Amino acid sequence: MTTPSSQEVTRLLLAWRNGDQEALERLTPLVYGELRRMAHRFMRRERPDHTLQTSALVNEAFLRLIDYRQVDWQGRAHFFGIAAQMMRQILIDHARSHARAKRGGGLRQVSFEETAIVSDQRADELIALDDALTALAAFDLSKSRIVELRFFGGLTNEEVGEVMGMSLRTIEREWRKAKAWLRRAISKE
Amino acid sequence: MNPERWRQIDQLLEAALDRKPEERAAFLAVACADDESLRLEVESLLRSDEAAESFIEEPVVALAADVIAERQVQALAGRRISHYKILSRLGSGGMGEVYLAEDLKLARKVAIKLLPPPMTADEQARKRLLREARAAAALDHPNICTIHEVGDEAGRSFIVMQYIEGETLAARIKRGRLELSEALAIAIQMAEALQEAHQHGIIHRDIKPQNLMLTARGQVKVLDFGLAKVARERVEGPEEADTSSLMSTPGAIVGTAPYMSPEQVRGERLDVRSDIFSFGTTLYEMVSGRRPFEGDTTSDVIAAILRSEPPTAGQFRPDLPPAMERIISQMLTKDRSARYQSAADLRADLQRLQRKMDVATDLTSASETTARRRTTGEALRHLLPPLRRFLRRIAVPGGLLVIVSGAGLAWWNAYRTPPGTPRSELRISQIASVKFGAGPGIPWVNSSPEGKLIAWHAGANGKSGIWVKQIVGGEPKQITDGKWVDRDPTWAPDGQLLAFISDRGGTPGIWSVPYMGGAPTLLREVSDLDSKNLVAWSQDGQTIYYEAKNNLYAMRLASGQTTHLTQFSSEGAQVFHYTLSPGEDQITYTKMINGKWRVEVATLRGGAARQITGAGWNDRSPKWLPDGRRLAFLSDRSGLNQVYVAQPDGARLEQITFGSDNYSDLDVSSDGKRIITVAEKENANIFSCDVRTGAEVGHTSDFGLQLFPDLSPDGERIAFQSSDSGGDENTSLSIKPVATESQAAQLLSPALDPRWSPDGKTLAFLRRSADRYEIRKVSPDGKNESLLATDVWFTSRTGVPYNWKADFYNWSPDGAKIAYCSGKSGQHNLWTVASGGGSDTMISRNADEKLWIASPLWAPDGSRIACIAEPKGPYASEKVWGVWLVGQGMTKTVFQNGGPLRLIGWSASGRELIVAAGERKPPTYAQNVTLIRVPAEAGAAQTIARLPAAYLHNIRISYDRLSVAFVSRQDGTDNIRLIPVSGGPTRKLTRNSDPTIFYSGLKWSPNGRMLFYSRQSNWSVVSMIENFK
Repeated sequence: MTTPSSQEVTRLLLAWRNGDQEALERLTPLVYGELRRMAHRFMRRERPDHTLQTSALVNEAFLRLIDYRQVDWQGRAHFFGIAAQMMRQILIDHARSHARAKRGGGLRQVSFEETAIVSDQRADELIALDDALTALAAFDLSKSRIVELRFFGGLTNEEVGEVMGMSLRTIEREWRKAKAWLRRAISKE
Repeated sequence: MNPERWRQIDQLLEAALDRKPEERAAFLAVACADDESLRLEVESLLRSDEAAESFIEEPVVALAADVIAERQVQALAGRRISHYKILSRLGSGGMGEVYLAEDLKLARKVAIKLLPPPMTADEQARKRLLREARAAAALDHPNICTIHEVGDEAGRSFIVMQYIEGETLAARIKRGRLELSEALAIAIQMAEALQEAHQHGIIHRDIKPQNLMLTARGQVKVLDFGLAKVARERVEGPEEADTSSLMSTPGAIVGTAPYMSPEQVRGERLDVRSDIFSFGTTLYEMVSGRRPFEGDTTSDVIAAILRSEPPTAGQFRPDLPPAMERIISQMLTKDRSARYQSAADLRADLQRLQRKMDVATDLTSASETTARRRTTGEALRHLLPPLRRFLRRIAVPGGLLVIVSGAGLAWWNAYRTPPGTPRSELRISQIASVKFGAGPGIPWVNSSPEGKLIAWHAGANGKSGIWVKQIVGGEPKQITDGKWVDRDPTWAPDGQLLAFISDRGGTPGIWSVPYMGGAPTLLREVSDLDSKNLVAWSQDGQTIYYEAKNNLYAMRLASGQTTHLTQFSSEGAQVFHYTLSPGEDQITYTKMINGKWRVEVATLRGGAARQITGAGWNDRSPKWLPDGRRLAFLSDRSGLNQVYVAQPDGARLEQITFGSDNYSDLDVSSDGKRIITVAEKENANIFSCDVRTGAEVGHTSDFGLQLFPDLSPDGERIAFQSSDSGGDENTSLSIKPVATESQAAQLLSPALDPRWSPDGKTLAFLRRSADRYEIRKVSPDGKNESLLATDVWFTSRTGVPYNWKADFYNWSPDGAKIAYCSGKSGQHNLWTVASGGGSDTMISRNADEKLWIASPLWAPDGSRIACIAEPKGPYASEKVWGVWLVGQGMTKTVFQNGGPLRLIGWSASGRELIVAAGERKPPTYAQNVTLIRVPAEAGAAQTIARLPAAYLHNIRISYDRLSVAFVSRQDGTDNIRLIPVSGGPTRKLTRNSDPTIFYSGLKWSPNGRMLFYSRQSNWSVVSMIENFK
């Protein structure tokens, strides 16, 4: 399936993998746009029992955006990596604005259902995790990325391995240690 | 934290985690020696590791998706539309979002349904909406949700409805099936509502539990009467079709799969009896808690609706009165003439039953029994192939080319080709169908000034030539040699010459060539070609317009002087697809902001840009109509890229095409009467050729992709994978007898890369499951499917021609085991699993995490397995590929090469390996391949032969290990060639002279007399649209 931007997105993805950092900057809004569109479609699905598969959204975005004939499995994993960063940003923005509203900053006259998307507890968790991850990144970037890819990007350990260029075994170890550190960091707060 | 310190902590933590919990304290005491703070730190992390699972375990992608989606809704909060103030979102329906709003005039709450912009921007659809909604608004009945107003403001249409507090029947059913008296009371009210509407000639078309509201007082309100017909104007993307409403263009299907009537599924004209069928499915679900027609996919559901008799509702509910069962089954009769003919008759029967139940004493006393599980979905799988053919057949009357494309349930697209487009006078004719190879097809078309010719560039293997064709009649003609990257043919004002961009072997610039062909002339040398695209040749012939890095430039041909015409910064938005208006005073272009493409218009002599389209969709490739006012462009607002025409103010937008094509470019002829479009397709079918004569025979002739045939050991059956298009997700395993014309049987889905066991009693295949791959096996009759191994290493296939990039698994010669590769316990290694199940063992000893191990190949005696060790990362510069030999307790490297390697086979003696070495080129490139004989024990490798222009991933050795078949591309065409393993001359087997046919997935027949493979074509279809206004 060729979507309007698939050639461009594919080219950017390949360029980025070749080390062109600028390509990532140009890729990001494309991916975000597609995610947004996909999300809208997902939301509109009517079946009451429909639940969103963890990575189905990103997967669908990938299929729509990328000329899979040119991009191999690793390219796909890289794409998921970008999506993970984006998901983190989106969620954390949301959680922070939720938290602000809760603290009385919200002067909106009407309440929209969006408050129900993220519970108070969830917002707090997300913000705490984001802070902890930022702290972790300062001295162990690799672990913070693994967490980002897994938690925000919905990647499996194997996929994380693809993105990071590490073996599954390494990812599993790093993930376990990252969790230990993060749990402690979050509970301290 | 200090990174040094952290590294220390991290290492100790890892070492401690590797030990048993009870040993850790002692270990740390020693390891940390006198560094107390280090020990405390690690211990605290260990305690954290032992703590309960935390929220970090569960990914939050779904949550993020909700947030993303909600952001779009938020913007509406508090907004006023006409005299309605939006309060909150109530939900979403097939046609759009529904909001709770306050009617400021009448001070009451209303529900307001906002139709999405694409629909409302389309004048024609809007008119139809108004008409339909007004008809429905005339309905006045206590069981029908009243429509107060239909209107539009600021370009958005909306429907204002009675606000009903309550829950939908769907929500009610979700809480548990209904009591019989309750179900009957609801059903009678529904029947009354239907009777009322049908008397007014209004058919609902989408009766389902989601469209029925139940108020607290037990009143039923049917929502969206008559609107389903309107809804279908909003064409949905195929991915939405599988779970949600199946929207379609007029004449095709409207409804929601599980509740659709057979005639609705077939796209026939509907009458009141269709509503009765849908009502029947709803009633069935109310009393049984199940849907009568179920399946894992929409296609399964459709198959059930058309073919299968649902289990009687009473099977799930022993207390169901037989009379109720009879009523339901009469509602669900497939032949509509045998169904209830009117809602009135139905209502009478329901009321009669209600009266009986009132006097009955003991109807609900029967104890609940466990309902038997249904296996409808499975039982129906075998029905799918015929159904697919059926669907294709019914889809064709539209006269449009129906070739499915896209991922997922793409064949569903066939539905979306309307038997008659809304513009009955619209004519779409295919004017060229240009097959292409590994290149991008035809990325654009350009029509000539006098409107009779079109030009494009196309090619393969990274080169492209300029082509010209008459719009009506004639064959496409290549007018440049295609040895370079010639692109962007742009007509001179007199229509005699074409300018194009090329470096033509060292002279990068803008060239021209007579449209009839001839030697190209350099017009102007230009640097940095890659960033430039030609836009137009000025009317006076003096100037060439081109775009580069977001901006439009004009270059005087005489002087080379270049003028900046636009001033977009290189950051932020991306701007491209510039087109000049016929008067060369205005431009239109595609602008990408926040990942969305939209169309803007600006005057060339300054002035603000005006946005013509774009609100969350991808609108692109605008072209002026000759009036210099309207624009034709592509938009994906209906899911696929379709052609639209916009007025200059953007106020009116008309969708021109409604087909199943996904257009990639368009142009407008100079007289404005035609729109030329390009779309891409792909197709592959199974063929075989006789090894003696080279005669080719086709075994399948189907749409989509039939790939990777594998012959049963008795040579009588072919197993292969088939899919409607690209992705791996919906690929099926099919089997077909070699000798007869009979249709292929689809065994199961999803399945990839089938391989017969040596005894022919079992088929192994790969299945993707939650982004991992499994090896499974199944009997050729489709029974006894079982899982053999998980986490099997798999990588995508190559581009066109499609071949596997590696062998993912292989049967042992005795069929007792299957070898595969996996990284499931650390580094990538070779594994074997017993084909009877169990005994899953890692057998190689790779400790290098930067290596892939791939393509296991058993020695003839089964004692050892050869495999390829390839460094990970496609861009590693010092990559060395190795051939490993694993078995008998050891792993050793027997050959290495600075370029990609493929294992072709073992020699008959088992003492040597035949290896193919390629160049470091993309796998789709025909390249110089060297066949090498590698001794398994000691001795030097020997070159057997050089295979020129061969595809590294499509070389196969015969079962007797005497011949090697390979596909090579010489003189621009793919053909199968043979070479003896002992070396010697190659023999060309097939006589293909069509450069657009690609051979993929070669396999020998066991007796060595035949070769099986796929013949693959990808093509760009150029079409002409007429009578679009």
